Amino acid sequence: MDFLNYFGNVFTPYHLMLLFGGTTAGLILGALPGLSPTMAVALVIPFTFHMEPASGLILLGAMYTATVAGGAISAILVNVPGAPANIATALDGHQMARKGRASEALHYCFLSSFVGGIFGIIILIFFTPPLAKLALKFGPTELFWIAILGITVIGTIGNKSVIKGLMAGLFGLAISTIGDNPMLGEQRFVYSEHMESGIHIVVALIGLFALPQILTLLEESGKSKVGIYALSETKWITSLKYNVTRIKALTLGSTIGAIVGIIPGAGGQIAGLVAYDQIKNTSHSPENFGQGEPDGIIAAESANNAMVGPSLVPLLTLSIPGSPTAAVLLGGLLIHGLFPGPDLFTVHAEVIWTFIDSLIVAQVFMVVIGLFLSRHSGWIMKVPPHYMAASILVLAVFGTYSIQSSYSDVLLMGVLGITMYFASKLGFGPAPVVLGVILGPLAEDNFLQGKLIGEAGDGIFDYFFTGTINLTLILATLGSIAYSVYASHKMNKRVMLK
Amino acid sequence: MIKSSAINFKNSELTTAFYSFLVAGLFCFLSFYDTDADIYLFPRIIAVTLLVFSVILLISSFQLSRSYLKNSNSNVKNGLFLKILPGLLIGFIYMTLMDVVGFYTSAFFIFLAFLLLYGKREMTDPKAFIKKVAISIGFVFVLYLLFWQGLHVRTPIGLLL
Repeated sequence: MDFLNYFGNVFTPYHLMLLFGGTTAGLILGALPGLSPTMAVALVIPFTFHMEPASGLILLGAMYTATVAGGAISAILVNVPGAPANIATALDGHQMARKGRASEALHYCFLSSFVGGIFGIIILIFFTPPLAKLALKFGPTELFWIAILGITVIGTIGNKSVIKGLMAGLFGLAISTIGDNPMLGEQRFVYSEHMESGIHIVVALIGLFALPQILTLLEESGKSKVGIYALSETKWITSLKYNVTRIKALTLGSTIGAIVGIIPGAGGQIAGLVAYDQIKNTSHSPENFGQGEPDGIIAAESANNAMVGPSLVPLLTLSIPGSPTAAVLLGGLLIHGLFPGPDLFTVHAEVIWTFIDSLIVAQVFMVVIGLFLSRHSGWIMKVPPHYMAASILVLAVFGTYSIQSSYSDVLLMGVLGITMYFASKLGFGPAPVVLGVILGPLAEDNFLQGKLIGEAGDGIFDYFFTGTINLTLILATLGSIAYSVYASHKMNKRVMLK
Repeated sequence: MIKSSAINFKNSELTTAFYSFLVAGLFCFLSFYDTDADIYLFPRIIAVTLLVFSVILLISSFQLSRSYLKNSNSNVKNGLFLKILPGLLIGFIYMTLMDVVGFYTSAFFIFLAFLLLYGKREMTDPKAFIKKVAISIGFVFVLYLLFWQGLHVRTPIGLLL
């Protein structure tokens, strides 16, 4: 019961303040339509740079938890999901708002998110340490294939075009090679003094996520605002009494969320939609779904929050993120010198267990602040997009500068961001690029080490392509590509039939 | 309408494939031309893989079926660049000015520029203008407290702050 040993660390005034600030900011940022949780977490990473590792991770964890739940506010009030994870919530949540039951819908959302979130963290606590022990058996080739698998999974699953997803991951790997060669120390692709020290992970994170978001917000500025439905005065205790009776929706949502979360790359969007579909299919009155059925919200929200904890299981053990936001969290771990694997639970046990314990407290903060905000959330929807764009731009610049006090970083962030904006218009997502940048050094270091060991032994091919773990990882990589090609082919066929 | 949308989509897919091919080709050139094989081994592998994928993308974009195209919409909308152009210009001016006049002063002007240029145009309404100036000052003040006082990040002060 290691997680109990460090529970007290969470209850220092400083950590509680971080949890409160992170949760409140996360709920508000999550509720702003158009601001993704991934971008919100990426924007906060520079602040954590100056903190102790545990404190930094507590802030990031609170933001991650809260942004997923906060996205439901705009889904319910204006029918625009704050994040992809809240798409399913909008289906019945907005219908409830139209019928004057917006407060009730928001109560169900936060209460179910809490139940799902706690369930997900329990999975995280019990599954992570045994899986981390498996990572002890990993040598250079296994770590190389793990990096490739991580990039492949994020690049293929959930992307409309498999080939573009893979190419985006390769672009990220290419960016990671700018700067010093890890073995020989010689510089590569350095064409300007600004590129001498390569591209810092956080510079890439902010540039690739925040700047395209700013330009997208500018595209949307001036568009007429959607009407916000009035918030009724339903008491939260009434909603709680109803919520606890919906055991089937809560159980189904939490279980599906946890399973989807543990699958690398799947993410909250899939969790919410699958849970919604299942509760609808097993309901006695499926015709009520889409008309304002509370079970739809309860299943979807418990699922997308139950996904948060398990999405960290493959991340903390094998450096494979369970969702794009988890990929950003990986960047947060690495800048604090924490590398996923067994060391995390031995050498850095205090940091990592404090972080995991803080996620439980973050859920409590999320439900309390969320229920409070649900009475006053109308104003969040009224923030004009260009105000958000201006704030993000200035925060992105200051955040980037604060990492290494380098003006070059700000310029590189700008170049990366503008390039990513145009690339995203052509169908390339930022998540695989970021993961390529983050996992690039891991892939290259271990590739070069494996090459040296292979040359000294039975040969490079034998060293990289034999062994149970190597073959399993290679098969998993190929399997994820094959599945994505099949899924994309099936989707295209369905589109053609329509 | 559907036909023009399909043509737009096919064009955008071809453009994407073409640009990807160019970038992959450039990366290949930079990795192979006048470089040391040991130092550039990993980038070379990435470059070649990228080039292979870009060729596949190019071929597949030529082969997009007519029925698929009918049901697809182009992601690149007309007039998009005109809308983001002022934002890009403001960003460019910001990057240039921040080192000269200081991070906080430039942040104030850039924030205000965004509020004035985008959203409702209320140039002639002094009340709206004062409100926007006040919001910009407030935002930069919070930024100052957070970074300068809280995190002790010493940004270049330039001519002002």
